Amino acid sequence: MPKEDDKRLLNLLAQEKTKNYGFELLVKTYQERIYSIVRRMVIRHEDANDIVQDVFVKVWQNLDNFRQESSLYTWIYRIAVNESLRHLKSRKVKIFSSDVDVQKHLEQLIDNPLHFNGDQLEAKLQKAILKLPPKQRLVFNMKYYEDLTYEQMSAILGTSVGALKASYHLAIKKLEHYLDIY
Amino acid sequence: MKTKKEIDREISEKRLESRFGKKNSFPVPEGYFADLPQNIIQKIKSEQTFTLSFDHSPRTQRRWLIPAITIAVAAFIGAFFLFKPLTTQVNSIDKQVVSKGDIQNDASDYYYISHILYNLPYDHLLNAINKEDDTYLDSVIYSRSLIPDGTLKEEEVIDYLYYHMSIYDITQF
Repeated sequence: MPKEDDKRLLNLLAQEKTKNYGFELLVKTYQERIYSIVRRMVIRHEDANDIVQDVFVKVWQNLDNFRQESSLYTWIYRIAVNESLRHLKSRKVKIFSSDVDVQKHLEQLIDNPLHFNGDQLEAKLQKAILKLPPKQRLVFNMKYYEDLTYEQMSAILGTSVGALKASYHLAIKKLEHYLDIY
Repeated sequence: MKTKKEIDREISEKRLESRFGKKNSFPVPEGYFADLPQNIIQKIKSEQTFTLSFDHSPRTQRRWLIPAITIAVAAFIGAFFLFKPLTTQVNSIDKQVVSKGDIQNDASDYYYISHILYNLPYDHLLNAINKEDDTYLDSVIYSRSLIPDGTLKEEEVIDYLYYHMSIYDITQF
């Protein structure tokens, strides 16, 4: 998102009179992208909805602390990423005993048209992606589906560009192996 | 100039894309995004109402309440020691006075909990959180770290403990 738009939003958010309008505009601006990355991580719409709402509530609650060292998008995206990972971790702790159990559960959701309505090939890819560890899955989704640059990903995840390239490379290689395509 | 690894990665990516595409096949209920901003604003309002009503009772009064509670608890402990052997430990007072589950949802207990929590060392609170729910702690730290200049605030820890643990649990650490 261009910096000018960020500036405009922040100006609206800074004034009491326009704060509510500015926030509504901020949600409208970012909701689909934030939802998309969260949904790909948690698969179920209901979970994604809860997380997205929590993300924007946190944004609202912490607007005063936002010092504009990063872009609004990076900041919001980072909250979304952390909330998604936290959700997966809490599922592992509360319901399942391991990452494998969580992965199996998510794979079952892919087979349910309520949660995923792609064709067989797409479902196959999604199931392969679910085999990746959560953070690597996140890196893959951010690059492959969201088309983020490594620099943007680095700002969001606080990981070096080099490490992200390596992680993405490894993710692609694993997927090729899982899907048996060479 | 691209490295061999980068070229290899691009080829793999193209192969994946040509075979499987990049379509988003996760169905979203109709009108979801149109309603989402209002739903979020509603959620914020309801949370603010809750905080406000909560603030209205004990927390806004905390400034004068804490010293008052301190005096009351000190008097209580004094009286307790008057009738008990001197070797009795403060910890055991906590355990005797507050049994598990008998303190929640009671305004007067809130004062007591606040007093104890505010007088516990910070590390102690963190340990308590860790033991209870390390994922929450992770998320708080994560969230705070991504909020510029954010650090874990003691008040947050205390609020968390108040809502999620009984005082009995806390005094066991």
